[in-house]
Amino acid sequence: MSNLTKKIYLPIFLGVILLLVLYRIQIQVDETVTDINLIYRRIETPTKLLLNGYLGHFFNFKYLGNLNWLIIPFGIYAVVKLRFFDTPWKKALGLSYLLALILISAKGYFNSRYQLTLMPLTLPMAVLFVSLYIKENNLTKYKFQIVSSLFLLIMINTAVGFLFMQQKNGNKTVSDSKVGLIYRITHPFETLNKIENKKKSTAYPVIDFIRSLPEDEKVLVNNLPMLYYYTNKSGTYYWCGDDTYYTNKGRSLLMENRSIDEMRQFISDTLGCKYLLSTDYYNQHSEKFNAFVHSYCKPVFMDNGEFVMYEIMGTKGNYILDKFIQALNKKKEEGITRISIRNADVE
Amino acid sequence: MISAFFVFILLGALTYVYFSFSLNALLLKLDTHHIIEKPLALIFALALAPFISSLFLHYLLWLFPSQNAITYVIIIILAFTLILLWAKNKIGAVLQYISGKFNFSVQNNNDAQLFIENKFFKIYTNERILILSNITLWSIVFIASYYWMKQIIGTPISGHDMLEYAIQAKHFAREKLIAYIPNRYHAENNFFYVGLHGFSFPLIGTWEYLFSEIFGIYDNDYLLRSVTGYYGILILVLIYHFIKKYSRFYALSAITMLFSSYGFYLMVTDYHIDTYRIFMILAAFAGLGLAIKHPSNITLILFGVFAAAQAYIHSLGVFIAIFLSLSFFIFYPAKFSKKAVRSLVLFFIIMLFGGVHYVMDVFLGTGWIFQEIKYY
Repeated sequence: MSNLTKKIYLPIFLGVILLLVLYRIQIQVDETVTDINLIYRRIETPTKLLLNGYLGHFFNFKYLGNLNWLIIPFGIYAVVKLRFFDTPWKKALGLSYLLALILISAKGYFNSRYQLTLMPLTLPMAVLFVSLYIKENNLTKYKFQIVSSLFLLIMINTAVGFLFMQQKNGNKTVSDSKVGLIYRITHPFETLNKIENKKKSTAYPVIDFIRSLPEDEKVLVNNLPMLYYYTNKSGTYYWCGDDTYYTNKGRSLLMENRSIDEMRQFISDTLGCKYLLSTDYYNQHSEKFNAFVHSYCKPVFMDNGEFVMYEIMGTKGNYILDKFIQALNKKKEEGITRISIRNADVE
Repeated sequence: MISAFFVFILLGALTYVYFSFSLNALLLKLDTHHIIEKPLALIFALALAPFISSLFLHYLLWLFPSQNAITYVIIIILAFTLILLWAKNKIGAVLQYISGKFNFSVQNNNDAQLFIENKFFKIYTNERILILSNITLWSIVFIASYYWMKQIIGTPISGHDMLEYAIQAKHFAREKLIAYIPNRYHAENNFFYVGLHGFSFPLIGTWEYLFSEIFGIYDNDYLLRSVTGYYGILILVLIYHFIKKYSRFYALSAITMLFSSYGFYLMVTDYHIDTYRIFMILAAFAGLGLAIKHPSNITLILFGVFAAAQAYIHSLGVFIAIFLSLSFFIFYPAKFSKKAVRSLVLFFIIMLFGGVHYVMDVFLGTGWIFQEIKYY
């Protein structure tokens, strides 16, 4: 085996094989798993839990890119062969990095944001270790090709990520202005007025709807704090995923020891809430809460972010969102970006 | 009536420029042995300005609550002005360094050399290419700034966590009070703050609300929006600064790859606390390296301040501060007694620059992590 084959082609070949295996695992779906939290975080199978969860810092390709893992082989090379950690300050940094990594892997595996913590250290260090490998093996004349290949690799991975994002967001965010930069610079007062007007609106049409409700009517807020930020309304903060609501006395459970009928009575009479702000996706985090929504909560407004305002009814019924979703999809197909579906639109 | 955006420009200039300038002068004054390189001192000063503002505000709202908005604003501006006056003999040095950065001539721009360092470009090496590369680099800066401003202006705050921070910021500003109480409940609208982390990030928003209140504006959040992009850019600059010591080519490659990754891109473009806390973690790592490599008071202070900052911003940082301190203790090149004394000093710095928040929260407040933690 020639020197070049050993130092370039073999590592590339092994890297490509490894990437193919890892991507194969990433796209596997276990349809028997129903926990939407695990599916959303892509840790629904033991292998995916290991790769995207505990070792997510290196292998959570979708979110953290597909190059972080390079720090493992090239880091080992730098440590063992090049004695990179030869001074106390480098050893101190290495130890801190390892301890932080272990903590994040063990305790933050479920959250991509936590996994991201050390990435701005890991990826540049991986590039640095690759550069040391290149230098040590007299491959400097190939450095542009090697780095370009790595760049291409991460760009392809990111392009796939953006496709995911576009699918997820749909028509959610579209600029309402086609005016270019030059126009904005040459028309400063018009631009400033637009900025001021933009500030008064929010990202959520549902907020405009909430603002239009009578001031004293309270809302049960299912983990959507935007109500508190964009309106002066009073609400009870709740998260059905943990069945926890919050008052001045702290946390309490809403559904425990209460039937669906008793829940309605408690929400209306004790908490004083006439409306529920939630999403269909959030409701599904609790089977019982979802059943309560279907039994007592009549949808009265839905926006393009799929935020739904429900009116909490006194009598039991069978309230479903289907007509709202149909109307929403129809408007999306028409290319409308800021969508407000009201009761009148579906009746 | 003064526009909210104009107030933001004023506040941005004050926080990002004037306060950073004061801190840069301070760093140069404290650095009697010239350990901290000037570009690094500038990066650190730019990063510390919003953080120190939030820290001042924390102490003021905690120890001297219920004052007028203008009182808090004047005290903070005065504090940075006093810092600047104390370090006034370094004002010239800071100005000289910054004005050097705005010298666009090819000879004075080392970064332009990057484009001819690689063999691929060598055949094109001539003065025109150098000028072109110079223009390209400044264009990148211009485009990045344009998109940063576009994001701040055009994208309202959204997302669960960001909204939580922003609401808490608003409540601090309205109540003009930080109290350590078991339940962070606000009777005004029944809002209950479920966050576990230190208040640095929301307090940047509070700083903006208080400043805007002077002008009769009560819902300004441009500065809070700007934090994400600001620290995102600083992360790239900090990484570039360190890796360029090995090679400018790999430094540029590293930050390009980092920015090209989906997660980092989202982190910079989606309002959140992440760029703020992650920059401080990187700076704390840099501080640890400096404190061990060049033992001195200034490096110890810098390390302590950044270790405290990343802890005060986010709970995860508390554990990272412990790991960094442990590594410092193990690898600090001195006898045990001196190590112990330096570590004790480090502990006090960390406490002073934000760590005390968690002590208060554990014993008088919500209990911090010593309660049943809910994930959202």
